[in-house]
Amino acid sequence: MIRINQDVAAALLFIAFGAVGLYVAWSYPVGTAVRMGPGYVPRLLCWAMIGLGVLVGLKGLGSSGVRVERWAWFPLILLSLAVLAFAGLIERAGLVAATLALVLIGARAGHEFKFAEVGVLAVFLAIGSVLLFKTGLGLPMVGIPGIY
Amino acid sequence: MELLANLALGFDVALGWQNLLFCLVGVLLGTLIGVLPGLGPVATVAMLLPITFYLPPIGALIMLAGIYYGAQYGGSTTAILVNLPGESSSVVTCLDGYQMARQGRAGAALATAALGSFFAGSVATVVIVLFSPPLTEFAKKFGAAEYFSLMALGLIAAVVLAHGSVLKAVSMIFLGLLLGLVGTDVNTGLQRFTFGIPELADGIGFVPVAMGLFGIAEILANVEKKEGRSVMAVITRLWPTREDFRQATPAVLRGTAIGSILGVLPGGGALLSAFAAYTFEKKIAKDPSRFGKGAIEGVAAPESANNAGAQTSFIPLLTLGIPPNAVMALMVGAMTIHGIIPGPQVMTQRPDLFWGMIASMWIGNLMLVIINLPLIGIWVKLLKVPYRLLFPTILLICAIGVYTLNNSVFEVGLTALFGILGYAFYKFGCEPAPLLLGFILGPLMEENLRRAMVLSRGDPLVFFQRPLSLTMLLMAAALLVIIILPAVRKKREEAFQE
Repeated sequence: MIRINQDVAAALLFIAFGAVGLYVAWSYPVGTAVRMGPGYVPRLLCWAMIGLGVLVGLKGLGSSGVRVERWAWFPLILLSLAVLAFAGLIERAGLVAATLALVLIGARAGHEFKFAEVGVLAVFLAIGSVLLFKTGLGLPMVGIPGIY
Repeated sequence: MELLANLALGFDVALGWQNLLFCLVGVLLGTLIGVLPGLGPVATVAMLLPITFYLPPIGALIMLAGIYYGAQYGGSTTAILVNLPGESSSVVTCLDGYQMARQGRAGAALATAALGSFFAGSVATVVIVLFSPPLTEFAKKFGAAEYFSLMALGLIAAVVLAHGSVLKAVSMIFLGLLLGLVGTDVNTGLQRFTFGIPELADGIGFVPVAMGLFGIAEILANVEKKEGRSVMAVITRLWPTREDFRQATPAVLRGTAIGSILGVLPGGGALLSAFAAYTFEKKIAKDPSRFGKGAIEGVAAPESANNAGAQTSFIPLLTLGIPPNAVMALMVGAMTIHGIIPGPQVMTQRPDLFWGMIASMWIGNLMLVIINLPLIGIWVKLLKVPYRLLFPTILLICAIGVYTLNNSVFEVGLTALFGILGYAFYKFGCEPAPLLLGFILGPLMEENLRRAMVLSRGDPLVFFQRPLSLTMLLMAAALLVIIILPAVRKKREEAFQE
């Protein structure tokens, strides 16, 4: 069985990037070395990525290497969700709703979560960001739709 | 005498009340964020970049430079007081700084760091003033081939001098170059790697990349660690004793010299300077065993070195237009957004900007000393805020920052994506800094490569026939060969171990 150490994992990532890039860039005109087409450099780089990935991988297989630590999936998903929720809400529901969503979802990722504490923080940050960015800096944002 | 006239112009610009204010705000904000554990200068600058886009170009660059030193300085405060390096270059400061703090000499350690940094910053400013004009003259001789070779040399040197696996770092550079190509091809108008997404037609924004890889990924890496705070040291007496001064002064001088030189090198800057200065102090000390137990030289030397290095790393950026490290790559991005193309022409076309920025560096350093020693109490209070409340706040600043940049929801999502990618890199032991360098240099390198090839009618030998270009390529090759030699590799690993 292949041990997945840091190098092997990184190698797979690099090769994947190179392969996807090559697949996408396949239709781009390559041109000649004198008049390089828009596909020349991308293809060169993608092959280099694959080559480097293979080298990194061989190095990883040849040694025991550093094991990949367990991923903390829960915080990863929550924090990403928090940012995506902000992105989804900012234009539809305004800065206040987006801030509340980001803080309330994001804070769950920590080791401790006390609702009262996070609630106060979220409200404080929502008011603060509206005051700072909308009132203070005058950025074109909506605080609460229909109200401010 | 021209130098003095230039400096006068610089101070004229930097001392305008508006620019003084931008400098002050930058320094304060930088320190504020830099003090927070786990946020280094790259993350801090990336986070605060969007604020500066509403300012005039000079003000924006002055503020960004201020943010950079502020963050650097804030990092050392955290390192000394709670043994948590806010950034990688403060790791060394932790060793002796925290020990000093535990012995009740926290005040002396902080004051030494501040005064040493100020001295180093002043010297580095002079170095920039002296060396920028000749380097700029030199850079004016560059054609497309030279630029391509210079960038190749810069990228390779950045890898060799950075820590971690060379092979992985090279891969990260290539990945950065590849990501830099996304968007419309300038020569033909072809949409490359855009996957039909209209927002990608102008390329991937560098703010989402930097914010994701450095800001969000750092939060992710920190959140999963258990929140174990070391006991905070109490500050009793701020001013160092006469004996402290006697021991620290030569260390500050040596640290400044080392930092000023290493900062200019690609991949150099604060981190390498601090490590080198600490190792050097330990080597020449009469009693090396004192180090790690609260030797004041162990704080004075690396702190001076990192500040000197942070500042002289502006030299390649301002004269050649080549960013030597990740923070400078962010500066390139900031300049480009303001319509300034970094390179030798900046000094002749925008002397006010060039010299104003340099003068403001010195002023910024002065402000750091004057403001931060009295304000230390406030920073300490900030350190007591638990991380579980800090990280949602930081996350929010990142999200709002990216959004306000272009009012683009898409870029906020992209930031989340790069956050996840950055977390993967962290888990796979890949440094993200080379990727950012490659990302910034990618489009420039492609353009110069294509132009050089057209000019030489497709003769790839053009890179070897022009003496300057050849020299740089040979240097790059030599660096690569050297690093592959097993003996050197072992030495290098040792150097970064210490």
